[in-house]
Amino acid sequence: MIPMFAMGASDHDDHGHDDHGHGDHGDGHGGHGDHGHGEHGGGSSWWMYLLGFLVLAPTLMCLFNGVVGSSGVSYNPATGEYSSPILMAIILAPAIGAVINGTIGQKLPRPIVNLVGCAAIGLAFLFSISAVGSLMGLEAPAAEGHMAHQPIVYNAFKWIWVGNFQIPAKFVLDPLSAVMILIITGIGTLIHIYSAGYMSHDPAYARFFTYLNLFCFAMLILVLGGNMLLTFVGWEGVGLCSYLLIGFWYTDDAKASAGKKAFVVNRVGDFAFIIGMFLIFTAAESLDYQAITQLATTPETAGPLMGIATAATIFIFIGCTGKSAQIPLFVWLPDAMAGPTPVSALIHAATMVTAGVYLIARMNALFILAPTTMWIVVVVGGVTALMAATIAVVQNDIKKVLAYSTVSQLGYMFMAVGSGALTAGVFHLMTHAFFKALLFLGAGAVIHGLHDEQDIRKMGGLRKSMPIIHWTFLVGCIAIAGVPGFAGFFSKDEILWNVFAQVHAGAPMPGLHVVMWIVGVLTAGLTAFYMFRLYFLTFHGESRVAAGVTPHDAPAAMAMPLIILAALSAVGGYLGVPHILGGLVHWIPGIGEAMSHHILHTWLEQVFTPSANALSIRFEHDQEVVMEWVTMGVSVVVALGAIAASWMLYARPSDVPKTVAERASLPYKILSNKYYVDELYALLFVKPTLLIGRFFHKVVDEVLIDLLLVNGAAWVMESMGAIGKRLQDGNVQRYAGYVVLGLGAIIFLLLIK
Amino acid sequence: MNGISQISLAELRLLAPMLVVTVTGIAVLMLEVFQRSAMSRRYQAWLSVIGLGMAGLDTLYLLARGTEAFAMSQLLYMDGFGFTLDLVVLLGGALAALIAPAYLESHRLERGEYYGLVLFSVVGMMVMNHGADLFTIFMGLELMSIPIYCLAGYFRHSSASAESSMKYFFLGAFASALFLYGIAFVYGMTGTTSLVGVSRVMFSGLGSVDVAGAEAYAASSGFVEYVGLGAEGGPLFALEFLPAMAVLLILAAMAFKVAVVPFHAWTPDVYSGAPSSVVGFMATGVKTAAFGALVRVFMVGFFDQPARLSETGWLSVFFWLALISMVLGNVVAIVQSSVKRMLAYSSIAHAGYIMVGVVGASYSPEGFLQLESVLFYLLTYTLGTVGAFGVLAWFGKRGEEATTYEDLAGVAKKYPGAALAMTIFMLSSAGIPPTAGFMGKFYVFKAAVQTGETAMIALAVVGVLASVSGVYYYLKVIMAMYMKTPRREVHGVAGLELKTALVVCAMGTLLLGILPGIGLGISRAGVLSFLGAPPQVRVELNKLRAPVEAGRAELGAPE
Amino acid sequence: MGAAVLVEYIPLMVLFALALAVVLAIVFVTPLVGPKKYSEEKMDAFECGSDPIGQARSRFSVKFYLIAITFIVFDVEAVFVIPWAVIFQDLGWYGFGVMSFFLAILTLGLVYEWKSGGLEWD
Repeated sequence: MIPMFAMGASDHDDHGHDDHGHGDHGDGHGGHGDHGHGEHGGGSSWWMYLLGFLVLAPTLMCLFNGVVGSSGVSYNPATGEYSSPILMAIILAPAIGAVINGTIGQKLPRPIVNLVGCAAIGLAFLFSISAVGSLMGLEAPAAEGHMAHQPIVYNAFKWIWVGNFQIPAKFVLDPLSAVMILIITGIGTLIHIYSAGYMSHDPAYARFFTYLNLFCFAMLILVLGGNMLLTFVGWEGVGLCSYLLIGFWYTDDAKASAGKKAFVVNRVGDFAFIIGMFLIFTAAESLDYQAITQLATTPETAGPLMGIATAATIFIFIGCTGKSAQIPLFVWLPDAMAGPTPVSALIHAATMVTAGVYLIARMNALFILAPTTMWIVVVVGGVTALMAATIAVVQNDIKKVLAYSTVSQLGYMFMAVGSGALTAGVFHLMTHAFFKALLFLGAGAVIHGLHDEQDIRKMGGLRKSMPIIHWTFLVGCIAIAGVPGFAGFFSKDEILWNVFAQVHAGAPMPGLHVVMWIVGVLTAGLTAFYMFRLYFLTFHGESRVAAGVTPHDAPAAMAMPLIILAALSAVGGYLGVPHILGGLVHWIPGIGEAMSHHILHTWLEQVFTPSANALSIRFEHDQEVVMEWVTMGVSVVVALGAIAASWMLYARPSDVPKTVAERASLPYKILSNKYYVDELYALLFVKPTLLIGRFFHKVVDEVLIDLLLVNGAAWVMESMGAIGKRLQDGNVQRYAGYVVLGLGAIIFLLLIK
Repeated sequence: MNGISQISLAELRLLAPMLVVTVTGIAVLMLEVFQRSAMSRRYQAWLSVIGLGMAGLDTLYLLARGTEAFAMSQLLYMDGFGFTLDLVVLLGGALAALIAPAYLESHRLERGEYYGLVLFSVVGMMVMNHGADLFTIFMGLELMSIPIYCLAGYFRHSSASAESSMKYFFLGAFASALFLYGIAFVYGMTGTTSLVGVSRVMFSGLGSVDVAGAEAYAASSGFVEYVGLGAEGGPLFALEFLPAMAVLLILAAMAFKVAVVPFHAWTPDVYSGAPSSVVGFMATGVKTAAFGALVRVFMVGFFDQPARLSETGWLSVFFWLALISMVLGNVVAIVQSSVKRMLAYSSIAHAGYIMVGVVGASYSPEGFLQLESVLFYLLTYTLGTVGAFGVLAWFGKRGEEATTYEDLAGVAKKYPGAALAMTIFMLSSAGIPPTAGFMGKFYVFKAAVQTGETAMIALAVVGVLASVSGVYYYLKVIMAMYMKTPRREVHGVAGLELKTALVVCAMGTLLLGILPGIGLGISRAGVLSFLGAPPQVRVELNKLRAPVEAGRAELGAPE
Repeated sequence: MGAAVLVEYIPLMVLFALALAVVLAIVFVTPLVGPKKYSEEKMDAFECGSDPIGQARSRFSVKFYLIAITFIVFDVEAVFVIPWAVIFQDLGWYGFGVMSFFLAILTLGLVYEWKSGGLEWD
């Protein structure tokens, strides 16, 4: 079964890319139709439905293309924009899935729920391929002989229309969002399929798929939104789904609290995001990305934006630290591992947590106006990367290690975007999505295979009983460690080189870039070390598995995504081959020429051109090549050394880790307690907040508001009413008296005047 | 034919709606006494509705045609304003007839007199709506009131009902006496009771009566025969005092009928004792007619341009009556435990809100069009209040009438339809969108705010605050119905008629809340066709009428 | 008003004074000068033939009111009919028609009262 899945999926991949989504999908349809028919009589296991989906989806695609034309892209000469409703189809597909599973899912049989959940996101993936294919086709000559891609814009409806505050529901597909939607829907599809296997024993599967689809819906709004407010809607939407999924097993108090923690910490960031948004609106009178970029890159109009750029970008960056788990708001992500593992893979590794990186990349034109912020981003990213990596070294929970690793890698991405290497940041975002999703899914498969065991001290020697997981996990580890040839090597190296070499104004101290480079290299070493520590402890050595547990390998539904992701982790890096290595791939027939020029860089160039103009490389050209080789060599040596060290310490029985932990008990304690950040926050924020809350509850609310204002007002009203009531004693003579008195009073008042 | 002016057929044609209702009333009474006593009287309700409906259709026709004429020797203004008020009154009467059958049956009092009294009362109200003379208005007032007194005491075995009737009668007679006393003052000063004549004689000069002018006017107009004020034709009375007395006595009588503070004291006792089926009609029909007459008397007869909202003008009296009514009505309603009494107090508050509209419209000739808010409010108020009392009639089975909040606890479970309807009526009364009550309040307060005068805006603000506090007791009803556990079992008595009435009220309430343009259009047509308006107002009205009449001419309608 | 006006009222005042004096004289002087004979009947309290001893608040049948109201209706009818009858010739058929209409309504009222038992004592 496995090869068939793999083939099926990759078939589509190729197909979509080959004809740029313009052509019909008749081939795919026919081919899969055969598979489907062959299997239908066989039984009713879940993958039958997935197969059915693989038949159904291309059919629907064909239908869509047939109805609206080739991806529905049309040119509007009035605005000079290309438009296509396919963007709406991409966004709505998961929404429809969420609605179906959310309303009647609990009553549907499990296979149908799985099918709906996977089909929804799978369809979005196919639509995305089609749309990105169209985008590739929309090339237009840009400056300096480069080709630019006309973004596809879709104005769904007028959303908020008050005075000059006019926000359309506008979705934009440009090269940057194209990369994002492919990651979201592609990896999303794999993880949905994986989930069908992973959640096979959970009774709340319908709810799970509802949330997962809802998440994809929100995430797609986030990246496709053409203005900040739409992005913010997606931003909040993914936050909500993250909360719902972390606390998915809400009966467990700790898990529910983890969800709450994630939500509250994110709200802190969101608040800053809103302030940033307001600041930008006051200066630019628009929240539209294209408009903001236009304003910021035109010297005549950049004035008002210059004024608020630093403040606004800092606020937005605080928002990013919340969503992307950076210092100081990273504390929620390790706890977020309480959610089901596919959730950790999709939301807390591959997609949602990269939203901050995406946002800075999206708003690069504004960020480049604020060099101070850029340096803050670099430093925060670097410190976070190093700090999280050190913590990861001492963690014993397989998911916690990966969680801190994620925080650390996100720090890397921020270092990249902060130093202006936006392509490198997005590149690492992508490769990280591949290998971290792979690692999480692998970890999930291990946990699943060991019946919910997460402690690596109770694993070991699993390579024999879990061959598929073992090999794919190994690929992931190699990729993240930065071994040459694998995905992580290319992206990480590009970041390190850029941090070292690239310059923009406003460095707070000379040589900071060197310091940050050293931090980066150290982190790279630590990353290789803890990842292989994890790998060796889990898959090598003696088995420490608890008695009575028989480890089993991943079932097909889980194995298939692992294999695909492993493949991507292995080769994904060739989308961004550095130009000094261009010669190495130049010979490859067909695509070698393109690869040697860093495909991703070419692809994203138009998005990042505005800010790229503000950057420069520190070195002369000759010098540059030499330095690039040097930095690359250093990081490779460090990574390989770290792998070797971890092999010596953890692949064989060794006392050294224990001894180190005993000798350096203080650092060890600090690390295993995660620098006491949670405790610090509890002391600094939580307790004072609770005190203030108690004060407001006891004094302001109960006494001032409840007693004085609310009950007081009610009491006054009631007493007035009671007086009025007493006048109404039923005596009819008295009533007549009131009439006379009233008349008399009026006459008196009138005549007194 | 010496000196007797004959009623022409054309005039009779204009009176057709009134005549139809009168004849229906007589027919109901005749049918009642000639039918077998065991036979059901339900058909009489439908007969009444048909009569009122026919009258309503004819009124609508007359209104649409833009009819404006005098009738009955210039004792009646047959104009759009009157016809619009007629429509509201006819609607109220029809609803009162529909609500009754099952309720009266359960009380074993289903007799045709009920419908006859309602119909005669409607005729009285219609006369008031069209009154062009103080005496016509008085006649209408009595013709309206006496059947209402009887209806209040319709449950003759119930002491509460008898008490209600007795109190209403005594105090009503007292108010009538005040009214007559006021008419006497007016006649004494001006020698006429015609509203236009009163206005010309009383307020033609600035502070003193120009007798020669008045005589000349009287001679030329043919309205009145000028009897003369003082043999020598010199300066008359202490003009500050006597006109004030006349105006205030008439004002007091009107204020009594519409139940504004401090002339409201009868309201709670009368409303809570009277049969539920008729209270809604008592509250809305009487208010409608009395407000119509009030506007007519004061805008036509006592139009007092130099004194508007000055310290001595009647406008300031209206202002304060509106203010006190809104506040007191809402405040005392809060502490009531009986829903019927609560509704009685809230009707006082509603009278206050309507008064706000009147004040806003009377403030300046330009604002006169704002009178449409008053007409619109009366319409929404009729739907909401008659409906609410209809629901109380539903739960008004003999011996176990549900009148308090506790009685209504939990009825939503057993009678979801009734509870839903009541919810709509309560929301409307509280002024919560998307119900008609909200739009009504909106326009009424808008009428006050558009004057731009600080005091007026303050009045609107007080009104809004008062109505906010009113939300409390209206929601209490909804809460009782939906969220409280029942204390005792409640048995509803509802026939097709009652349900029809409630559906009409509920749908109308929602319709006017969502599409207020329908009601507002009719109200505006009514205001634009206001006979007897003083010259300053007429100038303003003509500006607005021009396009309407052009449109009518285009449609090819006669006149 | 001046003193001249008041002079005109002096004869009237004199008349009032005389009348008062005569009345007072009759009331107070007669018992003093007249003869006195007592009997049982004469000493008994007398009030228009009804029992002098009983409840202060005696109730009597509501039917009296009904009769009284009916009486008033027709009494007032006479107020309208008599002036009409006086100038009946001048008013002609129009006047006759209007009066007939009025009387017809009144008759219907009578029919109603009769049929609903308003004219029967029991």
